[in-house]
Amino acid sequence: MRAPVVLRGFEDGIVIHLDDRRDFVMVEAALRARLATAGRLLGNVAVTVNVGERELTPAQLGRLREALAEFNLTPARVVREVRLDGEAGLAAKAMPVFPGTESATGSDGQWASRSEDTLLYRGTLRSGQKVQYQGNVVILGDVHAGAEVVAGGDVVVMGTLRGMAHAGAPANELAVVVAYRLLPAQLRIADVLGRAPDHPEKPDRPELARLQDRQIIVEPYIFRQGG
Amino acid sequence: MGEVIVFTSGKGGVGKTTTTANIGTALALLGKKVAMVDADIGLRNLDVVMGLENRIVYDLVDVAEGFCRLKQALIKDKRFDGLYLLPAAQTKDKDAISPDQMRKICAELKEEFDYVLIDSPAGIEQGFRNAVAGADRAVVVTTPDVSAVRDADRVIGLLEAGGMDDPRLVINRIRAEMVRRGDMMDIDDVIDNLAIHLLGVVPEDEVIVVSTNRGEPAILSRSSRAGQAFRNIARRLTGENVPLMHIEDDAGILQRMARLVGLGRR
Repeated sequence: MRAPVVLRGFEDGIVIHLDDRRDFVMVEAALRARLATAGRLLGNVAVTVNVGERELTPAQLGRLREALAEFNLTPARVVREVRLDGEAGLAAKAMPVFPGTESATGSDGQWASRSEDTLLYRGTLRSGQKVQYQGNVVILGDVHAGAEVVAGGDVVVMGTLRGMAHAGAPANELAVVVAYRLLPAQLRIADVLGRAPDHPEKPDRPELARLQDRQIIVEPYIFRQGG
Repeated sequence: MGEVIVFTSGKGGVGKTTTTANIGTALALLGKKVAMVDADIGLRNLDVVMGLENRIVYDLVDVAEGFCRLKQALIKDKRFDGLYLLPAAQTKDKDAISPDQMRKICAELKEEFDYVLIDSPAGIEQGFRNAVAGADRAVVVTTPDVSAVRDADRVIGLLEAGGMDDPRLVINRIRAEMVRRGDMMDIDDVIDNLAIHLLGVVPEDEVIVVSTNRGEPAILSRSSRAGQAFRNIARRLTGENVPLMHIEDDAGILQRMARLVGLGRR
């Protein structure tokens, strides 16, 4: 059995993994105990909390924030993982709504998302499958032709995007779509629709799609610090 | 204890029945005990392709409803001792049986046979759900057409969501000449789109048409390249390591020689 709370440090912050198979009260206590031993070392870092597949109630989210606040930590992001299932997967499952988190503070980059509420999907979406979420969506896999990703915020595909992606649904014009290989049949950002050229060229680098003058434009993805 | 393998595709007409018939016969030729189950209730074909239509007395629905015993409905092949067919009912439709009934029949067949091959109907509805219910493994059949590949992807997604790990792919009816000209998707394109392991590639072959109409599986024809491909697939299913055959080889001998001396198109 894995530990109820796992801390992982990264260059620009830490990720706190909370075991989703244990009772929340137990995990909450374990989190306090873990932070008590590491608290002083953490200092002023960006904190991401990964709650696994557990659906937190607003009250539980509040208690999580309180626990972190006791150690002077504020979660910049709370991430939930999902898995597609359902009756033989025959019905694409609409994702449950995650209790709202505060908007991100500080970043004022060109295409920074307005929300840090993010849903992580591990695996490949095949034709007929759909992930829909009010916040950002990150896909750790490919999105095949005929599959759909709909997000209130940004869509990030750490693989090839051949299906349909809708970022900023229904009206967030600042949302972007980023993919390791961007080859969608159709892209939507807010209420603007763009379709692939009839003979698209295969990209050889990650690309980003965003809105400019109510048109979807695609450009090479270049990482901008703080952006 | 045997293994239940379902042959499915999503799209119709890509060669599920032909594949099932040929691989079943090839496995029997290898000395295995094989039962083929036609799950395409209402549109049965496997019996015709196997040339066993005139021997049907009871069918899959009769067994599911307890109208007869499983042994009574199994038709013994006219060529091989270890090969049997459980035919579909023609006068009923897909919801005449349930996934639970199918699971029970598969479990019973598994006791008796080394391989139980299920010929799935096209589509992703009740008939498909019945066909995959009792299966341990799945083989997805596609042709190198964009629409067939798209449907295969849908089916793979459903199989995976249903807990069927690692389905295998058969690419059927590939035409080397058209691939060479760039007019047809090649093997790499198909695999790139579907991201699953390849079990085999079957070239387009006129012998299939003749053999289907005669009710004689093509693997029985020594000269058929499709038959050779199906025999290879059957051996791979038994765990043997058989390299892919070169689909280019069906180009004319002149062209092959031309390529050797550097004159042919590549």
